[in-house]
Amino acid sequence: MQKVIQTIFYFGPLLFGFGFFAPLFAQIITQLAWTPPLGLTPLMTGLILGGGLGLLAQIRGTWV
Amino acid sequence: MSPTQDLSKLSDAELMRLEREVAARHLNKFPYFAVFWAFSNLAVWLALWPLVFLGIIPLWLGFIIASMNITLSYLPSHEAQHDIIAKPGTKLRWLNQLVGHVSTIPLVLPYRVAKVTHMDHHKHANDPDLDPDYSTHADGPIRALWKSVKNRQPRAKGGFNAYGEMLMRIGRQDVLLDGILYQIVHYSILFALAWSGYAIEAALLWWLPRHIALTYIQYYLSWAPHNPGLSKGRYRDTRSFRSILGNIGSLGMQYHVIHHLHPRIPLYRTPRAYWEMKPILEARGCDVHEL
Repeated sequence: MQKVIQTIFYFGPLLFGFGFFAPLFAQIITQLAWTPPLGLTPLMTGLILGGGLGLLAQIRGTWV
Repeated sequence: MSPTQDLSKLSDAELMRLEREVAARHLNKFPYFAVFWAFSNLAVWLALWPLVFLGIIPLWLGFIIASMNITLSYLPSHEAQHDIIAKPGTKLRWLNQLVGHVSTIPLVLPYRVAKVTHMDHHKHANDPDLDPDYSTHADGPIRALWKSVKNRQPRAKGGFNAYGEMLMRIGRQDVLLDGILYQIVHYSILFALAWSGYAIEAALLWWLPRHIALTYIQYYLSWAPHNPGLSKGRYRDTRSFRSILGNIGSLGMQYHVIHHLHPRIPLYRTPRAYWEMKPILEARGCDVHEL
């Protein structure tokens, strides 16, 4: 159990990027009525942006 | 005793006697307002969710109120941490513990984590190795604000990560578990809201207000009253200071020196206790020149 929790917390930035930032960005894009390029849907764009930010934070160990 | 009286010729024992006399006048006062504050503040923050979701108030207003709510959520718990509402074994002890537990829910700070780490802060204030709040030290206000943000990063050494280290060091894994559970529940709620189409609401009623609150709280409750934080000891590890936002804007911290000397004096009594005790503090060499 301890190992599972440690793994979840270790991947915290990545999880937060996909779990929170992705739908957040998707919702912001929808509210702004912005059409993402390359035929991407707001959610796909959110997943790329949020997941990308999360991955960066995961590698760097910091969001800022 | 007049506020400008020179007591520097008195002995340590005489100064201590006078200090205890002043403190005794402010101890054992029931903090009615702090209790009301704890429950009303939480109720307002909880009410924001249906009010915003049903469109009764706009999200921008909810964001402002939530930021204030979460910033104000720590202090009632702080009164409880010092058993100011009710000491162990007394009739109202349940109320003390209830305030301690519920008031910091929006801040995602478990009562036991707050209490154990805060007691250690009092015991080891300004000790680079043992003070769990030492990571808030910084060379100036802007750097202090930035340090607060940096301390909250995933692999930061300070902030709540330092609390985790400290709890492991003293063998309180049980308390650390509270923190882990709070984090899991907090992020689960944020993720669930976000994937249900309420991401912006979750961000502006909880996630961002909490970060604003933590920055504000760490600035005024930790950095400002301990800056520059180079000295240790009963009369050296904290100070009084003048805030541009006044005593209320600084969350009552202008008279923090009183809190470290006599932690069981309620927050609302610290200004009066300070002015009554000021000649003693000056005689002791405390940093009280700003007020």
